Amino acid sequence: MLTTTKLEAATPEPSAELDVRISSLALGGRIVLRDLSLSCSPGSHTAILGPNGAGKTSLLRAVAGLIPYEGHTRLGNDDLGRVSGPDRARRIAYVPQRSLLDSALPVEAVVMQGRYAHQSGFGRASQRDQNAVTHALGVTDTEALRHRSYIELSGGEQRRVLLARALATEAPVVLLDEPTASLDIAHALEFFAQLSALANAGRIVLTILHDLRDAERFCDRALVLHQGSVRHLGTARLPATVVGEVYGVRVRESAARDFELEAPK
Amino acid sequence: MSAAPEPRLRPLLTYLLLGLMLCGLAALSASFGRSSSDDPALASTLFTLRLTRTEVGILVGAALAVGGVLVQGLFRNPLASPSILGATEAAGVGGQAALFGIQSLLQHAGPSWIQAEMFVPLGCLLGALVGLLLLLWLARSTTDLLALLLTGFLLSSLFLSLGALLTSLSQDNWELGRAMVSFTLGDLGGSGQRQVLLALPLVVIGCVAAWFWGRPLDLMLSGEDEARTLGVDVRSVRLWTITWTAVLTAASVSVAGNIAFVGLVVPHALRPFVGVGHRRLIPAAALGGGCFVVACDVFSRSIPGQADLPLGVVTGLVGAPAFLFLLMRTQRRLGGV
Repeated sequence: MLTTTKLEAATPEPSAELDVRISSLALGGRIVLRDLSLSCSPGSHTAILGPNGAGKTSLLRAVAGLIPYEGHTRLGNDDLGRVSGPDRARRIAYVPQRSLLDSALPVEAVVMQGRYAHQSGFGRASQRDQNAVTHALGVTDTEALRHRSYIELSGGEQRRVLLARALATEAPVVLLDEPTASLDIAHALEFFAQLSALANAGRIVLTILHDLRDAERFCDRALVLHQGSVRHLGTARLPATVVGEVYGVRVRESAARDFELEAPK
Repeated sequence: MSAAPEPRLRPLLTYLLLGLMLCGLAALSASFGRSSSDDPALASTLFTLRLTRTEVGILVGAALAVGGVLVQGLFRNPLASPSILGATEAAGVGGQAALFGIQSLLQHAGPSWIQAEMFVPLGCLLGALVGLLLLLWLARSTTDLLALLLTGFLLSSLFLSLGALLTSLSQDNWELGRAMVSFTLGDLGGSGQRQVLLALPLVVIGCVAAWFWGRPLDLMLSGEDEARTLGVDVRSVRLWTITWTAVLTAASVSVAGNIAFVGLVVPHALRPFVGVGHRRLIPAAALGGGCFVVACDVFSRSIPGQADLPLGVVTGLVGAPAFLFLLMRTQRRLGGV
């Protein structure tokens, strides 16, 4: 537990497991998730799959502490339902499907927002804050955009900046809601490479995806939701029966693949 | 860290320029007027009057412009300002209610050293708080830009009607009636040194607090959910922002009545120079607001004619077209045309 000394006492233990139990989650009187149990170990990348309306986004929002539910979310020994807002922000980073941010803030300031929960009320950036921002910009390949205005960036660049902001929190858990939906294939591949690097560095990554092949290729395992319940939790290569049942499609097994895509160097 | 110094230097240069401009305008405003006198005593009285007027202008401008920055950040709406959201009207009704209520009470009983006008700032503060909280509650579920503005517009009509009702009820008492009417017009001339001293601490506290709340307001630009996941206590930020806006609006309304559009025009004019970050924008808005109101006041006094043009008329003449321009620009951007 004390192996990574560069993290200060304020940050949670990096080797903690994430444990999510949701006995029921209701939105507007309708149960959208029930009897869900999910444990993630550091370094894992879990795909959250399922048809529209299966409860994927609700699951992520519940873990991020944005909607109430019956159950608990624990990271190591901490019950995240009981910690303060800043404490949770230092443990869980969340990148929503569509950010509402549309302002002319400089990219550097947007990424520095990830440090909010680490700073005092006066808000002077410490050397550690600066380092976290520079590191996040470097990892997401947005260093060159540092002084640009957020609103002038392309959709793909904006997504990378929002990922950088999430990474600057140094939270051990990163939640992403369809992060590659607005990216072209080259940028999507790059983005997945960045997520894999994150998991390899010991973070717990949960990503909502629609493309089953992306999940199979980039994630260690998959959680498949169907009508608010877990239908599959395990290998990211989904059994044909699961795909057929959950998505209501006919699946034809085929070994052949026309081409493989590689991220540009 | 090889950042060009330019992005950091620009706000400082802007503050410096605005500060110089404010000094120049204040000097002009204190020395300029339609009447003049060779009698030194009279000249000195005129100077004192104009100086007070200038001080009121600076306070009002700073308060309303910073209030504008706060509500624009809070509602994520570039078209918001205390007057457009009905906060100044609510503060006005609060002030009138305080005048009316305390005066009626004092007529029957009470020591003579208590004057109704001492309660005006408090009434304005309560009025502005009620108005803003009502707006927040009515608009709680809407993210639509225009729905918020419409709600604010309806609230401000409601408060104006209430104010008119109070004014007509107060016409039995000539003094009170006159005070009520001048209160609604929006003018810098009606206040004395005492009101300035009452409003000054409110404006200073409001501006400094606004600066401190600038950082969470930057995060709120991403919407409440994202701000929350980054560690912002959204509910507390919302309540405090409303409180500081109410303090600033109340301070301004209690010394100068209803002056519209300052909170809309000034922040917009300054964002291109200092950026959208609240901590950079707020000092610029305080200085720029002072410049704008004092300049409008000098202009209103320089128009040839028998009587001064009320200040609210001048800011309205500048502000309403600016509002329309911004509305059209925003619509075009949202409409994707």
